[in-house]
Amino acid sequence: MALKIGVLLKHVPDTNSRIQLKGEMIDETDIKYVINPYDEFAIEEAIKTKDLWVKGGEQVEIVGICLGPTAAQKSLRDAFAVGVDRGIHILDNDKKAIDARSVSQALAKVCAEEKFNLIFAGKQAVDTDAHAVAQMVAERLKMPHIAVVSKCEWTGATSAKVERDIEGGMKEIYTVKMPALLTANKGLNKMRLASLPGIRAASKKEIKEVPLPEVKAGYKVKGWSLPPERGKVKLIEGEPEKQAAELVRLLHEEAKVV
Amino acid sequence: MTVFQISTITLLVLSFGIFSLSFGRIVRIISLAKPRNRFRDFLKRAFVFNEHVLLHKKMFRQFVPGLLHFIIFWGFVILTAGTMEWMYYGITGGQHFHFLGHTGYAAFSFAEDLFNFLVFLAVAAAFYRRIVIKPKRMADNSFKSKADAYFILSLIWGLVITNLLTHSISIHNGTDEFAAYQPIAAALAQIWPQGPVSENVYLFFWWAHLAIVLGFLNFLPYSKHFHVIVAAPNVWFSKLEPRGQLSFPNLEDETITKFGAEKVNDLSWKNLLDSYACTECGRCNEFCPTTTTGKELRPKTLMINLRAAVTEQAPISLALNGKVADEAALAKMSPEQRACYEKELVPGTFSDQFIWDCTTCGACVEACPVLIDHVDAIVDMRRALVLNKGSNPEEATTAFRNFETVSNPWGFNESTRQEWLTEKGVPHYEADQNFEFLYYIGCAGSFDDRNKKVVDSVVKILQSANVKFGILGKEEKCNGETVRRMGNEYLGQQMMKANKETLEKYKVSKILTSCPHCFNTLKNEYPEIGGSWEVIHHSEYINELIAAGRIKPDGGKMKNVTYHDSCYIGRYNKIYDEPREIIEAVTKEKPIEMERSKEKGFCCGAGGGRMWMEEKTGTRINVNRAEEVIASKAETVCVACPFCMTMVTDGLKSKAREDIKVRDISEIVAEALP
Repeated sequence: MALKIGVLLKHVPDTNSRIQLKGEMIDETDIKYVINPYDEFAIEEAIKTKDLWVKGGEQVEIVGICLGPTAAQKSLRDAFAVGVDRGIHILDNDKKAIDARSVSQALAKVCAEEKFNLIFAGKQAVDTDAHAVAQMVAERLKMPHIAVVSKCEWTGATSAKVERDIEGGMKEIYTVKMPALLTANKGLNKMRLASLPGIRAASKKEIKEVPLPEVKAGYKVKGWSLPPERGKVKLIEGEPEKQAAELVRLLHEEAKVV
Repeated sequence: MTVFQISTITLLVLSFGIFSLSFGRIVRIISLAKPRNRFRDFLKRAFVFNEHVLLHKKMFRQFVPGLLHFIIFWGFVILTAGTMEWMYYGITGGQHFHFLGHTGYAAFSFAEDLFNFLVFLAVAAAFYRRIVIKPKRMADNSFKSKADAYFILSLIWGLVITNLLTHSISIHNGTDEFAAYQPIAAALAQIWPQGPVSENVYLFFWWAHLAIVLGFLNFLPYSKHFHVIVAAPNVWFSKLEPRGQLSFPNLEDETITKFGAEKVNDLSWKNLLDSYACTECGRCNEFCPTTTTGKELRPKTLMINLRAAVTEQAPISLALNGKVADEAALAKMSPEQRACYEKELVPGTFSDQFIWDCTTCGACVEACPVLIDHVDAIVDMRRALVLNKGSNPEEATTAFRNFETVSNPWGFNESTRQEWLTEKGVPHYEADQNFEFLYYIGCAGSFDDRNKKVVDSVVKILQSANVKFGILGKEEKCNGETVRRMGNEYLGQQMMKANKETLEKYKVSKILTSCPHCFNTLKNEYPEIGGSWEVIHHSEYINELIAAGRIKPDGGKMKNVTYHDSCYIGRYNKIYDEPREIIEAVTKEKPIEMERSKEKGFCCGAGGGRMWMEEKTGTRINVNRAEEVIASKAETVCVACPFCMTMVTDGLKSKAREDIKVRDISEIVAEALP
């Protein structure tokens, strides 16, 4: 029987993007979107697991699932380039699924239909930082889940020894049996670079577009506020003695703190 | 026909027959390899041939070994004419080249006599060098390589000695009417006892000479001294394109599914010829930053192991007649043959470390007297790793991601590129506003705080000379130079095309760069995709401004400055003098020269994408350079490259010598402006 691995991935702004507001809304002009960095670890772990199982004579398929606007298909294609086999895109151009509750509802529906043996996801998405979607998907699927995984070792055909990071550098060590859902932390692996044949193949792999099912969001976003601008920095140059004297003068006369 | 004639002819036919079989085999091995067009530009090639074969230009950089080789080389040419006469004598049963006329033959005899003697001395000196002086660059040669060298030297010695002895007997016996033109053989004739020397002795030396010649010829194809035959053609077919121009493979053709040099049969015929032309002299290792700091990569080893891999696979590629083995052909191979055929250059012949060590500084290419292209071969192997397998050092993946998503290596938000310059009021380049040029800032000047100061100095200089220039701001993208040298040709070509589009949109015709890497690629590589513009580096431009009196640095306040050559403006583009002239204009004295400068300049360790990879083996390249800076007693070291800036600064820091200032040449000028 063929084994199926699901990977949940999100199309998010690159962490170095500068978020700015245009009126009430986020200005998208300068934002670059990428695969959520934690989801990259999930993708890589899925590929490594597939390689291992294929060596053991299994047939394995990796399916990437992504909820987002049309542009989010780029992240699926990027995942294809490194080895994900096909994709399901839950189209949500109107941003109806805005919270963990609604997103997990939509993802769980697709996952249930696919009947995955194993699901990988990033431990969090770096844009909304909910840390909740994957666990909620697992709960909806009635599947065991382990979050913040930094090591996954297959000890048998269907069981793995899994380490998860907890506070203070401690590790919790579990054994888990498939089907299960694991969320990846940094340190689990590093996503490989796509080869050129992989990039070429990516454009030919199948993306099944499905409409967003009826979902219920628990809240509404009322607005955004930007962090306060950083204060101006004044550099004092010259000899150390003069620098010190100038610093005292500035603190006294301009900043009026001494 | 006499027995003597028949014996000579039989021996010649046998020797040349065997030689043409072994020589022909190697020619076939080479010709079955991947194509590379090195046949056009006859005149340019003739010029290069003259410079590097006939005149031994690079060999004379080390005068004594250069001179010895020069004598042996020209000795070979002259003595080959002598050998022809030798064979002619045997075939005709005693005829000389007297058809040259009296004067002609007299000159011929004199030249042969003189070169017999000179080559004798040169070989003696070569023995002395190898046995007594023991040049460091050959110390790591294998036993076979060393034995080969002594054997060949002995053969050459044997050649000239038997030649001289044979002639001396004729002179002693009074049968050589041209004795007067052969002072050395004539002097040697004194050794023979009174009365005529027996013809048998004469014939013994005569045959010995011919046997050595023919033995030598047949030994060559099995020795590193095959160099004698292929070095000259290797120079003839050398790369005429700018050295800093990588090949531009077609990645769009979907029928091509393998890239770069993954296996031996992906190498071009020129790579193979390079490996045969190498005689393991080790000049390439001398200024190589990785060899010097004890890393795995040694350019000489690159050539030796490449040749071994080619030789190992030769029977298979000959049997396949250069074709790719299909399933049927693979099935016919023995397991060993199949393993050999499928062996990948990395990790089969070279380790990953070996291939990723290279800084592409080009010191090996610059040093090689027979113009071998080590760097291009290494980049080709990196391409195979990255493009075919997505395999590269982990840190490189991070850099590739950053280049891909935000077009700079650090991962800074690309919308902030050059924001600091725009805020300062530096105008955006526009096609119709009579800008003198576009100042292409590069990633370092756009984002790195230390290098922003360099760009700031250049801007100050340009403004004080009233030069009208513009920048591209956030429209500028990284030009792809680094990722291409890291083997990621696919990403590199995408970046090049995007950047070219922007430059063409603004009808840019002249570009100023501060970064030698931007400089080299915009100047030498963009023409490959149709980019057409003039490119100047700020060291050239500032020097022009000073020479034209448009800026007047208040010279003489700064002293004891040395200059660290950047590989990509130095060796790759021969800009050695301009930065030095700038230093002289500012300090009113010549810069202090480090031992390893100009052509021999020592890399800072950052080129070829090494800036973005960890240096985990051997000692650190930048520290090695910093030690040389410290030893020079300079108070300031000038650089002309953002990566050299970082590496040299860090090197000095790790030696706790932050008192030695590291300045870009533009900074010392800007500081000296009123």
